[in-house]
Amino acid sequence: MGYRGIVPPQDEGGLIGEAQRGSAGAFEELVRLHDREVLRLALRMVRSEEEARDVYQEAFLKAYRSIREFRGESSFKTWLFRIVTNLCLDHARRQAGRRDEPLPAQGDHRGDDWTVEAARLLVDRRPESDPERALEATEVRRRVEEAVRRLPERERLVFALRHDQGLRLVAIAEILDASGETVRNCLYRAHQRLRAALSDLRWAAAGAAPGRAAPAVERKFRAPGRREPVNGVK
Amino acid sequence: MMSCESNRERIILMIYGEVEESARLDLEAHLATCAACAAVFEDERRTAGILASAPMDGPPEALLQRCRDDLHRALEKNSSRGRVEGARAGALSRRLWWSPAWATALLVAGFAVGRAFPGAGLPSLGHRPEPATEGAATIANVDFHENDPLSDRVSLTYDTLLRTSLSGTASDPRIRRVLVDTVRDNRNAGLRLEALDVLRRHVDDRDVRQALLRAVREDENAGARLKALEALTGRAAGDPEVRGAIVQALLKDPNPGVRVRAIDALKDTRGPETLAVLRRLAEQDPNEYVRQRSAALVSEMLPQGTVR
Repeated sequence: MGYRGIVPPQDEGGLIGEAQRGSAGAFEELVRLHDREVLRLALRMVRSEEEARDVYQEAFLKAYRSIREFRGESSFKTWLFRIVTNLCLDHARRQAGRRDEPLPAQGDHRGDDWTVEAARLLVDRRPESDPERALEATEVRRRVEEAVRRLPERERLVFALRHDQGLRLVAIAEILDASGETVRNCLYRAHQRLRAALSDLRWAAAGAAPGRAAPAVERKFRAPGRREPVNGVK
Repeated sequence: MMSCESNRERIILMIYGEVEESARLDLEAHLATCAACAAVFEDERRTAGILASAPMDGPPEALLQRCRDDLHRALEKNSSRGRVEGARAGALSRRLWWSPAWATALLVAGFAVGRAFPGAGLPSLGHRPEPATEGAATIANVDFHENDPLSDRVSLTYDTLLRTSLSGTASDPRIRRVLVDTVRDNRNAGLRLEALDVLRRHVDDRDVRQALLRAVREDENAGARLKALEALTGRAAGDPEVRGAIVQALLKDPNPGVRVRAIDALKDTRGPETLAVLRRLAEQDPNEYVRQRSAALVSEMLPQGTVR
């Protein structure tokens, strides 16, 4: 193969064509366009980095073997994510079947979350980084991740595709081969469960820092084309 | 007229930017006049704010790299197997009666004839084979693609394993390459340790550094992880990737000796973030000595006024 770093960047369509003609190198270039998001989704959906590695490998090998069947009826990302989400659901269901492996306990400092966060803290050497605030943020992040991890797998998947990947519900419905109504319900239920799980944080946010969360909401969740915040509710 | 009961789902979808423009305008008009729904909106927006303030990080670079390496190897294996299987399938369709035993017998006979009559070639190939390129190499993994006992024509693929000697210093890229491969792939822990001993003086080389980082994270032998960690210690202050690997060892390595060495490796990376990690470790590490060592370093750091 030896394609890496030799071939100049190409458009996705060209790479797909070459991969369909059997070029593993072109396929690897395609992988690099999407694999960060694939791995992120896998990490959200399965229990460990090892399992996420398995999902990553299985997904791309499956895509490689069946890329000739890709007809361009959806985007390549949608096609690829269909493979990935099916594998994630399979893995998540297998996990759910293993009663002898409980979810990592809250506050388990040797878990991956804390490691990643600690590494991030150490790497982040900007003068404005304040350890107390950083640890506070770490705690919020840990609580959110824990709450997301406890969502039923399908709701977790919809939440991850919307929240982490920034996909619109219509694209999520296409990936999951589900109706828009089903996907909307999933997102609604996921949000409600998270709301209940994070209620103490919600009230703390309301009391401690009025208006602090709202700009983030506006930035992150504002509908395309929306001009101003909602009247009368600021 | 909107029913307040049925608005909650719509409100959430609006926060996610997932309602039609006309429905959004209706809902906004309603929220402006209905205090109960406005309160629900504010509450849901707060939840969304918390979720938005804790986005999931992208995957760790080292993990992504490992995934890419694994996939690269799998694709290589996949495509070479595909080629061989494809060729083999073609040969089978041409010679359905062919069997590997028969092929092997013919090959062995061919070599024997070749050795007994060095001047005799394979006329149907049109040229002499070139055994000299193989020299004294060991031949392994023979695959037959085509065989015709009537004409003696054979087409096959095989691996060669040729023992080679090198001597010099690890400044020689060829020697460094062998050592890096040994650290990375050799199953013999003793050999990995020997290679690490030599490579520790060459951490400026990117490949060496990557091999050492991988050893810190993944080597199953605690001695090898320790050696790799020691080799990288000097770079902890200036290289975020090295710091990340040391923190990972600090928090995840099952061997307390490695964790203690990781604490020592962080001595020169003084700063509020290091302090936060060490404090946490001083309270929560399962090993008492590791807790004490972390606490000692924390108290050593505090009076110097670098972290307040």
